[in-house]
Amino acid sequence: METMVWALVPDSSVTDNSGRVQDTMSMRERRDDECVALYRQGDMRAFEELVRRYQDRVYRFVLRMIGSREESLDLAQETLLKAFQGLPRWRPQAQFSTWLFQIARNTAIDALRRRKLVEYVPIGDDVDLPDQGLSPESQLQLVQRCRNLQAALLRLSPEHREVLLLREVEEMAYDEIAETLGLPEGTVKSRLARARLELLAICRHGTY
Amino acid sequence: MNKLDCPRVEELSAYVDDALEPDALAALAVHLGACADCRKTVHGFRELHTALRDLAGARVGQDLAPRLHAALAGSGARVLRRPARLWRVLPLPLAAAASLLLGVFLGGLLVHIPAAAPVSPAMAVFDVVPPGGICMSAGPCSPQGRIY
Repeated sequence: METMVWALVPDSSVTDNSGRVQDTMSMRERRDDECVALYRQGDMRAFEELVRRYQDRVYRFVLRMIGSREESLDLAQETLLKAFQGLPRWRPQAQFSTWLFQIARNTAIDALRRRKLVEYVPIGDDVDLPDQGLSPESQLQLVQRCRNLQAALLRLSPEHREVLLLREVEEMAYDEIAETLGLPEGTVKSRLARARLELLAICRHGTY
Repeated sequence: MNKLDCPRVEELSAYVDDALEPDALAALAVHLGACADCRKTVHGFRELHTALRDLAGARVGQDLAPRLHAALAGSGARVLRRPARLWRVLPLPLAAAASLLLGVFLGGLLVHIPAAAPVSPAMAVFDVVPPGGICMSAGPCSPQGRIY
């Protein structure tokens, strides 16, 4: 049996307004539902962790849905704000990510309806690419490919675009996509297949 | 290949997602070995998958937490206010405690506290009892122990 001693160490915990002690050192290791529970107790550090955890995912989903970088930043913030303000309505049985993407999706769809977007909207010269250690020439080719792909995505219907983004970019499983979009899983499967066929046709014929 | 034998496109799409049951997966694998059209479709879906992954790199480029925090604070969210306790007592295994003490000891050896520099007469005006003042203490009233 290992011998134990008592030691005085720096305290990483804080006490919230209600007197409950919380450990903030391991916030990054906490699950989403734990962070939500801490936030509901008034711990804004848990809120900050959730924001940092999801802000890029929400932003890129909205960006690929509507194609406008500037508007996507506003919409991403609007999504996160709605999510935290609406947390009293969130049921812990559902995943926080599913809840968040439901709001992101509805926010993007509302924005598209307001704009009555029917034409291609360029996303600008900057394209955020993952760091792949490519040569400048390869980077240029990749940027152009991304621009073309984004243009092709915007030619899809919003229903096809969202299911494709949730599967291919957000890597959600069929059941999670179904829950996010409020659809039967069979509908997700068929819609995804048709979206892929349609996008493939657009890319192969260069009609973007 | 007889088109009537080809699976629905949903199956080809699910195949790319590894979302088929084992029996369906095995049957489709056999079909793909014989059907160039279906192989072309599956290949196209996989190319799309690779291309779409390139779109995953978009970043906000800034921390949204402070801005959202301010917006939420305006809507009445509770904010953590009480300061953290600085220290607490924890049980530690003996080995961990020994490591901690050793680290503190070694760290102390690295810290060099220079000796206090001698005070010039001009700086004596900043002594507890400057020149000309009266020292009411029984002990020395200045760093140099002078009693004026």
